[in-house]
Amino acid sequence: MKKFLSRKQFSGPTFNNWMKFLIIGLVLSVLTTVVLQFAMYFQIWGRFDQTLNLGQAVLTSIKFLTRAQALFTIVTCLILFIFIVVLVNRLFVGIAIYLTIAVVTFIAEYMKMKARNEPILFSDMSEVTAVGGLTQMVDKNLLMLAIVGIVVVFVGAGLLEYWLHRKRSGRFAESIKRMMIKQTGTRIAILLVSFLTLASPFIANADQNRALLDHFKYQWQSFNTGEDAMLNGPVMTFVSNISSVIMRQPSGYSQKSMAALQKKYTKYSETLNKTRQDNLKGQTVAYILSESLTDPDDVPGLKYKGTDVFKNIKQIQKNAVFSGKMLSSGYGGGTANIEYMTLAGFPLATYAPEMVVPYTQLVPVAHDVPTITNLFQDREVIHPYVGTFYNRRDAYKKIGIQKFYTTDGKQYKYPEKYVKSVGSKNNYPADKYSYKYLTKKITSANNNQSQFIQLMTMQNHMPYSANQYPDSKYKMLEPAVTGNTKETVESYIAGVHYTDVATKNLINKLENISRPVTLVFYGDHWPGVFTFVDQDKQQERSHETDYFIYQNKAAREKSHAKTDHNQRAYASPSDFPALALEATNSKLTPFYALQTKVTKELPAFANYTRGEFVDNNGHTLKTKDLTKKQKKLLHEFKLVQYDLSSGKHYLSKSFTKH
Amino acid sequence: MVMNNKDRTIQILSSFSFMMLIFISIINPQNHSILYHFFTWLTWPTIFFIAGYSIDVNLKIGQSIFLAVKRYLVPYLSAGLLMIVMNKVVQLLQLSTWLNTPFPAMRTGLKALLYGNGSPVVTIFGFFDTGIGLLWLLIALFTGTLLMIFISKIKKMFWAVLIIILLGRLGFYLATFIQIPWSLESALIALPFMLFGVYYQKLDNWSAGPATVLAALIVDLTMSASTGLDMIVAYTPFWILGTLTGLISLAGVIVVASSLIKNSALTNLFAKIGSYLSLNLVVFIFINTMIPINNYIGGLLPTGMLSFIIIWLIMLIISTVIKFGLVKILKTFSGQEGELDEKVFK
Repeated sequence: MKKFLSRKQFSGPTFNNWMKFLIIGLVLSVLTTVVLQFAMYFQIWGRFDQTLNLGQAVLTSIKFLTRAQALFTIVTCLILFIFIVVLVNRLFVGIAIYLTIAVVTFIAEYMKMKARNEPILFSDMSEVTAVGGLTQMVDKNLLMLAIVGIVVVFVGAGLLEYWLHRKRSGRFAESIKRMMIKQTGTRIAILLVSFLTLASPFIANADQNRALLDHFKYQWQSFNTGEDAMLNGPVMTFVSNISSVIMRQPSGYSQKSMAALQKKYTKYSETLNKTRQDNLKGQTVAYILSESLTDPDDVPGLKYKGTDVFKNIKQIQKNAVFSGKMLSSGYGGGTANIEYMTLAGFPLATYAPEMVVPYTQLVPVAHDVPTITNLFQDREVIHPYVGTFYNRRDAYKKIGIQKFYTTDGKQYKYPEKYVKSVGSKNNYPADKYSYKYLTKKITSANNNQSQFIQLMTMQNHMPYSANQYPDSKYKMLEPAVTGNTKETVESYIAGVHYTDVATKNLINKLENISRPVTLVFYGDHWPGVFTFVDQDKQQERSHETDYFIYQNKAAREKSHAKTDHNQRAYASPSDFPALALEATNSKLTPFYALQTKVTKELPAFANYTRGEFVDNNGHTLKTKDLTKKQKKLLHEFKLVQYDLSSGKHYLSKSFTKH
Repeated sequence: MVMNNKDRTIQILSSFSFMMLIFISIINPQNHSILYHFFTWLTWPTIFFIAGYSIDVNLKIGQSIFLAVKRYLVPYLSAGLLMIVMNKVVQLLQLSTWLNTPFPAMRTGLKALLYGNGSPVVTIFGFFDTGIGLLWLLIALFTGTLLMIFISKIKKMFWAVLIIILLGRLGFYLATFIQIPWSLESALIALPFMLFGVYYQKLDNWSAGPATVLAALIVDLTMSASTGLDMIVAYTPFWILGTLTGLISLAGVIVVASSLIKNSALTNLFAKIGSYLSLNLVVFIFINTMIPINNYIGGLLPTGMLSFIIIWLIMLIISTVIKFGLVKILKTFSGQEGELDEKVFK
């Protein structure tokens, strides 16, 4: 070995030639970083620094270089450049290949941002095979320009290489040739090091990846990948999405234990299904996620002048199949997380603490995402706003949502006629109009098809400002607050009033239609306006919103469900699928049988923290306070959650599907 | 005395590093972050490179340590003690309008001097809110030289490089949570530059040319856009990249310096400025720490480029004049006669 090493002296270009190589690589890498950032900023969306002013977009992209995050992209591009050139060992051909990759990446990033205000994510790599379909989506002029550019670059590279390798080459040609590595061993060593460096984010786990990115001052924007890319650069956003800690393996996880659970809950579902009907056909289950809705009467210390702002919803709750308080994971935001729990039936509290946005961290990479929507034939979501947040479009695709109506939708556009507001013209679309569109969708559903429809409202979304509702008579009396808090709270209360009235009218309308409709209604989280509430002292209260599951006359007659509306006075959003299926008296898969058991035997998960629960009387319990039976059920639930989300998928399809 | 080209290059580098040190000491990093970062990547590696070059690998370890004590530790302690005493005098005579008082009390000053931390940091005894200021550089040069004296005895280059990489990593790691005495972390992360200096002594032929300068410029600018080399607390967000940037930037400065030796007039001027580097450092650090020249000039001239250049020139001239005055005094006391030679270290 010693002999071998002494013979194999690693040699390569001189120091100055290395520096020449570095100059070319660095210039290209810096340009690539600026161009990729330009693809983020030269957009119509108007978020952060996005603009259609070419000069401004270029300047902002150059300014990005002053961020530490830019170094990550520069270094990545430089290593890629080194890898390519050393691989082909031809400088100009290497540059041409690098430029082709850069151009293709730029177009892909630009077009995806243009379409969704989202950069390319790791989950998009599954679509790379559909090149034909993807190129059809690209702007024709841009595509032609890129093809011509790439052809010119390759022809130029070919000619330059030919010129370099003539018999009588000049000094410049010789100097270029001297930049190349002649010794195979050195080349292999460089290729290996650069390849492993580039591949490391794909091999490393989420914690290691995050540690790497944190070195470059990564600023994670958990709710919006578009904004993440604007702050950190699309390359960093891409790497940050490669791997993620979804859930840590619960003890006793094995093929054997999962097979036992499959058997146990198949048997349990069969027992429950003896009294259940297979009756979703011709029915609608509608979810309404009422943005930032909570009962102002529940806010500690808040007193206002005006009629009971929540009286109609309170009344509906009394007549509902189930109703009570929902334990949200968010305060002032985090809508998509609550939404995910209501669809998937998994609480956020049992995932790893690092897994904070399932739509971006879990859904794109999960083996299987069983949600309540899978039980229906027609699956639609309505959102009277843009659909770019939380990676919803991709996530919905994965969970089988067929149509996603948004104001910026191209294929499925939320109709203009329902984009009306109450109060000030600048307010978000009002609930009463969103409800009208929802009702239209329900009444026009096919009688032979089961329908799942979800509406995510916008009316009460922040920001709240003075004079949002000029006709409002609601006045905040207590507590005494400073600044514009009083005006924002008053605007919020007025908004809640409009929601309350609109919800009553919706229920009245649904009550009289012939199609059986089960409505799951909930406020997703508190608004961030009650600044006088000490969140540390009022942790539970400030995460409680109202929910109800209502059935219209046709649904009640069809299901014959015997329930007590206080049966789940405190519910986790993850309880909703099981509760909705109980309301419709539908047959259950083993998966929903387990969820049903959880809603009946476990207190509700307190999703704003970990290891805590709230019982039906509103008392907080810790895991250690649970009974032995409850602890066993919790463990089984976690095993199933782990297996389906990040485990080895030992459970067969029959566990989650009929 | 015949000086070879490499010695001449080092003299020019010494003057460069001194001028750049004045520059980064008086510039406002908040207002001119890129410019500040840019020069940190050049200044610190150059100073430590010169220190590495000045180690005579042929000397016995004892002799080398004695030289290091003479070059760095004695000036460090002398200047530090003088600053502490002067600090007390200024406090007693209430002259703080005219002179700075960097230490709240003699005791804290002495503590900072003995610990050798440049700025307030978490020490092994807990948080210490007083630092010795720019004087940390001398103690870091001392500890770095001590380490390099031993490392330079390693015959196989591979092992020397490996040890330096490991020690550098250790320095960056330790700096994330604690500062150990005598600015040891700063010395540890500066070892690659010092080794380059040691290696440069032995180098017969180095192919660096204009491309190296251009590469150094691009690398330095790319890094400077977002971060600099914060040697006082041994911090750069990316230690491998940071060390490589420092080395490439240094290579660029060396090429520039070596290209200037053809011009004898310039070489002579730079040789004068760069001679007696540790004295240069001590004098400048003392002036910079104790005399608020910014305040004097700021009162006479509006802030801006002109006043900045004037302050920089004043600092350079005063430091150089005082340095030669001190050299003359020291020579008179030690009984040495004749012209002042232009060696970087004497």
